[in-house]
Amino acid sequence: MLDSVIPEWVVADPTRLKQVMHNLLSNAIKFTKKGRICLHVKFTTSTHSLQIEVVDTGEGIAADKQSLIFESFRQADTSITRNFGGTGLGLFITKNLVKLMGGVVDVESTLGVGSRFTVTIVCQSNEGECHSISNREIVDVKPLLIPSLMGDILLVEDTRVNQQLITFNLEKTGAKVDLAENGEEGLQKALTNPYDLILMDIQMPVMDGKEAMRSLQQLGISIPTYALTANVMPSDIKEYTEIGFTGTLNKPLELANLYQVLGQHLTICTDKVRNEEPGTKLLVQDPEIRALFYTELTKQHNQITVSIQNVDYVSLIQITHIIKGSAASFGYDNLTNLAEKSLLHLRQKQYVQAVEHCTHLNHKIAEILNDYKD
Amino acid sequence: MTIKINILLVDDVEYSRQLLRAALLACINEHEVEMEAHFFHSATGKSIPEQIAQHNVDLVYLDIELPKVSGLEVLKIIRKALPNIMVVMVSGESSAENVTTAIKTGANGFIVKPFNSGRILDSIQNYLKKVNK
Repeated sequence: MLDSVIPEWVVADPTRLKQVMHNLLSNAIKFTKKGRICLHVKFTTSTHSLQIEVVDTGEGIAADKQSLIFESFRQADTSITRNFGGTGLGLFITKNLVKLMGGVVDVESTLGVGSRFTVTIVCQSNEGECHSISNREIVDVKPLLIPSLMGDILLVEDTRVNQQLITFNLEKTGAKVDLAENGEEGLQKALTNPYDLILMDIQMPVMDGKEAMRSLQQLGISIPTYALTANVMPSDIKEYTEIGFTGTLNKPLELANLYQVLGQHLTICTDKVRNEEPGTKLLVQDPEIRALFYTELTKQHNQITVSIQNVDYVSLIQITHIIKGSAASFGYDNLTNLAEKSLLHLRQKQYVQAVEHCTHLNHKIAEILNDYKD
Repeated sequence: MTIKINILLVDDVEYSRQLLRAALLACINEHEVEMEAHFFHSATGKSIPEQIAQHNVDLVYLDIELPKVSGLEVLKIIRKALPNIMVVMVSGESSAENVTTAIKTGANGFIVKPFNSGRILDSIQNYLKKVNK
């Protein structure tokens, strides 16, 4: 049901809006055995508020449970999971998406009669006076400025929903986001990549955030690292600081806080054009060491040829391992990449592909050596 | 005040040692760390505690992928003899097994090849922090 004065367009995030409507409608369908489900969309020009109502004649929710249903992993009754399935995350996500769009979601319900979910967000439209921002009711809704940033962030988070939500908001700034599924993977990635910032969930399988932070500290990694957590008692925050966290970001994440932290640790772009990542790998310029590298590379080239002939995989593993670790420092990233691929196949005993990659690698080495001689 | 430091590089591949030496020197220069570094080299993991004592070594960079005895085994031997010496592990990959073992055995750092300047600087600054404590 669309109101007669619905505007032609509004300024909002279409994906999230669709997701919110989808969540509310699929919930209504799930809990309504008979009767009807009604979707009602209206727009109030004076307040610029878009209202989406989903009304059903389903199970309904008891008054004392209505405040619980928006919490994560909570359903009004534990038997609901048994009878209807679901994770108890749908409304939690809905509430947070609406909140991120600067809106609110309300519920009215009577057990056995039905429910009415109402989402209200403030947005501009082609109806009415869009510039009448002086209107009192919307003065409080500050538009969130998304900073334009450059840098690399490692997000260590095991929950798929959070991964997507946080990555979405991080990438909006222009920052690059790398993902690790648990503390152990996060630690490995932090050792290998030059991140500007790490955002670390606390509760994770395999290795939790606290243990990963202790390990980062022991290994002397100086990348600023923030705890992402819903445990924000003063004693928790004190513990995180003692372990070595730079700070704590409360879950669910407030975007303003998140962007403030990003602004502290990432480069703020003043130009519209974002520069490509600066070279962080060390390039060896010293002519003596470079000469040594080419001498070694010549030896390795011959060794690879012989090892392929003799089907000596052990030797191929040793050589490709050395090339993988050194070539990029001399500006030959392609050799490092090829050696890495060869090594992977060798270790997985996929010998056909391994030999193919080693041959390709050797071919590239020959080209480089020829250029060097010239 | 310029700090004098003796660094032992343990790696079987000569140019890997040269590369690390160059990277450390570049880092010290670039960040104007007041440090005078002297380097000692070892191509094997044999009698490392003895070499540390002989050259008054302050900081060890130890490759994990050494032939015969792995760097992690060497770390265990060093830790038994010299519990307080700073040892930074160097490796071509940060496999979970290597990292976990290095941490449990008491490594003070872990650098992955190809080197990135941030982690090289971390290892030097951690040494300075320890000395200044």
